Amino acid sequence: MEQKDKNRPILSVSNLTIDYAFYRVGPFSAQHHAAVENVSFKVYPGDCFAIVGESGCGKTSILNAILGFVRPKNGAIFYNEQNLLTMARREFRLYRPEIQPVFQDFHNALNPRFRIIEILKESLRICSRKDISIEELIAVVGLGTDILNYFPHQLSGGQKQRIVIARALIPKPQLLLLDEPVSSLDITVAVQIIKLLKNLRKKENLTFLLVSHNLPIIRLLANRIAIMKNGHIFEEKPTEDLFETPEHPYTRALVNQALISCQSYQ
Amino acid sequence: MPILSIENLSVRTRKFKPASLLEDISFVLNPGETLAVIGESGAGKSTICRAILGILPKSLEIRGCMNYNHSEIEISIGNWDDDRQFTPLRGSEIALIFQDAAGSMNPLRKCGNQIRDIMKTADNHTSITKQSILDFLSQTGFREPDTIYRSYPHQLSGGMAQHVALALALAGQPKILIADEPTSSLDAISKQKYLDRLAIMKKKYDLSLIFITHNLNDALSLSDSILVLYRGRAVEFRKTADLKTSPKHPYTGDLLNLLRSVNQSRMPDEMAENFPVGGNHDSGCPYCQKCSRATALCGKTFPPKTIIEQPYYFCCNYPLEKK
Amino acid sequence: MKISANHPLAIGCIIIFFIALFVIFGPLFTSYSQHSQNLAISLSSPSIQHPLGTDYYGRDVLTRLIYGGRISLGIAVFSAIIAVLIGTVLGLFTGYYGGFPDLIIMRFVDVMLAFPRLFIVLLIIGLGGSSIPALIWVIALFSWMEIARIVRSEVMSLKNRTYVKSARAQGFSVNRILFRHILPNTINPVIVATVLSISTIILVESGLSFLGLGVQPPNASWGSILNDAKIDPLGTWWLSVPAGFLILFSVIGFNLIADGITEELDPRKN
Repeated sequence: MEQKDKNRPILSVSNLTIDYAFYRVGPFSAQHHAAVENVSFKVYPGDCFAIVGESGCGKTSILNAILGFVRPKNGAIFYNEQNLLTMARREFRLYRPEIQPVFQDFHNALNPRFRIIEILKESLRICSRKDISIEELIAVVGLGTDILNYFPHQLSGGQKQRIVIARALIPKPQLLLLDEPVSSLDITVAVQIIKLLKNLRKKENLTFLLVSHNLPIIRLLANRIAIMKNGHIFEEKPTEDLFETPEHPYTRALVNQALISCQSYQ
Repeated sequence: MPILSIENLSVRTRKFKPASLLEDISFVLNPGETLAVIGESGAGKSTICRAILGILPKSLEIRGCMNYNHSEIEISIGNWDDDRQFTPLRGSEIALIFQDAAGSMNPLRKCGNQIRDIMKTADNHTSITKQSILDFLSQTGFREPDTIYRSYPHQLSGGMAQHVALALALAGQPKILIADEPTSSLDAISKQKYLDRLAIMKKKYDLSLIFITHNLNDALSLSDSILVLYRGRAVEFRKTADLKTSPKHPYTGDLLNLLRSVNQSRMPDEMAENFPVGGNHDSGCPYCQKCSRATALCGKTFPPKTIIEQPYYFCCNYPLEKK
Repeated sequence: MKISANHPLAIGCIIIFFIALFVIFGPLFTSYSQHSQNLAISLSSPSIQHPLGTDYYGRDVLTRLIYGGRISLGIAVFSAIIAVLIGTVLGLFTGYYGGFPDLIIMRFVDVMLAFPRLFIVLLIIGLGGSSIPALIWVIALFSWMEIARIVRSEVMSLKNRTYVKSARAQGFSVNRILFRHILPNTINPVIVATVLSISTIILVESGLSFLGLGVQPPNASWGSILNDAKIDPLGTWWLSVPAGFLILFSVIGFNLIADGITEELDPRKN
């Protein structure tokens, strides 16, 4: 494993532009819609970097571009100083295990036809992990072995999300991409997942790139926050600075709103 | 005199593995007040609002009784299978707003025409002019009523679609508005705008509001009374001010503690973590496996209602004391 | 799965079960051969010796219905299987990869669907000559398009499911994703489409044989037995009515099964 250098970004996105083309009639008359425009940011090892913005602002598109699901129009994504966008397919496959996603939509994140044990076993085999047993793996995410024989639809939302996190840990990732990991969970469960993620980050030396629209919850986890709207990043700051001295009017509105709603119960 | 009261509402599946969706729910809604219904997803929040309008699937067995009482109209429903009883209520007395606002509108018709349809039904099929619809839209707070009138649901942004859904609900001149998680897909700023408008409309049209949410902050700041659901059981029904200062049920207490620490942006203290899978929660208190106060008694039977002050109650054998 | 509550499936299965019994074990109960002619008893009406009478050449109609059923149903089942294999594979790959190959193949599907199937099959059989394998292949080659479309649209929605994305992110191979994570989840509509296409193929084959271009004499199929009756369909009702009812009931049976499976696989039921 490479030596982690605190000053060298693990992930560096520069001038990223993603646009989607809608084809009306065959390959003719394409309409373009820019989801992300000229976005740059750096994530350092051990960070939890959060991108906050309303739905549809392009934050998920950034994650999809990093995972190679979407081809950006412009820009570069450097992972440990290697440009993921220009490298060959075969080379990109080598980096796949190091960047793992956890999606918002945990209801669909597990194949409904397989039991939990089969889902995890398949990943363990393909990532050729022999050093960890399934029991140890699910203990890491705070679940008991009784869960292994259930099908995904028999689990609660929180349990599913824990399984998804466990599966994401199998390839020994360096960087975890979290797409709204708790936003469709209830507060009691969300807080537990946040705690789990926080502990994992310390224990497994992970770096998080987090995407969300819920500032109060993000505040518990993130140490840097970037505010995004309509495909642009307006402001990027350490979490506490952002809450104390928001600069951009949109950031100020978001932060104020978050603080006001928090005053309902102190 | 409450405008709406629900007594001992139970909803169960009839065929295939009989399961209970709601068990023995009672609450009242006073005129002009806001009732918040809170609980986890799957706790039965949406089932309640669908039951009130009689739009649950016919395969469900519904028991209990409902009384609606507004000036001259008095309706009491005991037999939930009779669809005709609900007809006078739907739209003109009680209106429902869904979480998926754009999806709850007809995608092929312009918003203006959809509002006209509802206004016609409310005004007994008198012809409605375009001007009256535009007036109505500006009264409900739209700055550009003409644009809204001409747009199709898919052309609206998420926040705007919710505002139009609110206008659609108001077009029927209802006395009660049920909002089923209207803000959960909106971002913080458009959510605040929506809630502000909702409060203005509530005053303007003299509405009583049932607000269903899983966001505790919204529930606490908006409501006059709160119904706390946990896995199909009503564990506590209280005035909001009382609930804030002295929650009785341990589940409510835990929720408020968590909320307080998130609001103060500190990690909550360690909670007892227990993950029961499935299981039959029909007989005992559904919270007993996570509750720090639970005893064997809690697992056997659901505790009876302890009435604090009619109609407010909680259901717990070992309630929390006032701090 | 509770079949008793699902009437279409139960009734359809019972109908097809009896028709299958009839064509599989039928020969045990008749002493005649399907080809043995006896012109002396040509076109005799039903009697103890010949429960469904005899045809123009004095062959036992019941026996011919049994053997004809084997051919009719056999052609339908094999054609449907071939069509499903072609359709599933093409649908799977076009749906997953999209892009230019998808465009080409789907436009080809549109062209194929634009042909009136019965007439184009008639033309090919008429030009190339008729044999049972030829019938199976020609019918199959003009029946896979709908299945390809169904599979393709299922795959297009499934490939964006989060579990497929997760599998890609973990570095699963394309084959594994396609055959282990996508294909099993498309199987429900494919089963329904297969059963439905069996019943339409029964009709196509009967139509061809009725027109004299399907199964060739001396072999029989239900359609060709109907053809035998066309000189005097009412007078020789023992030729037309039983064959017609067998076609009718097997089509109804397969359609009911398809209906029942649709209902049984409805996720809301479980």
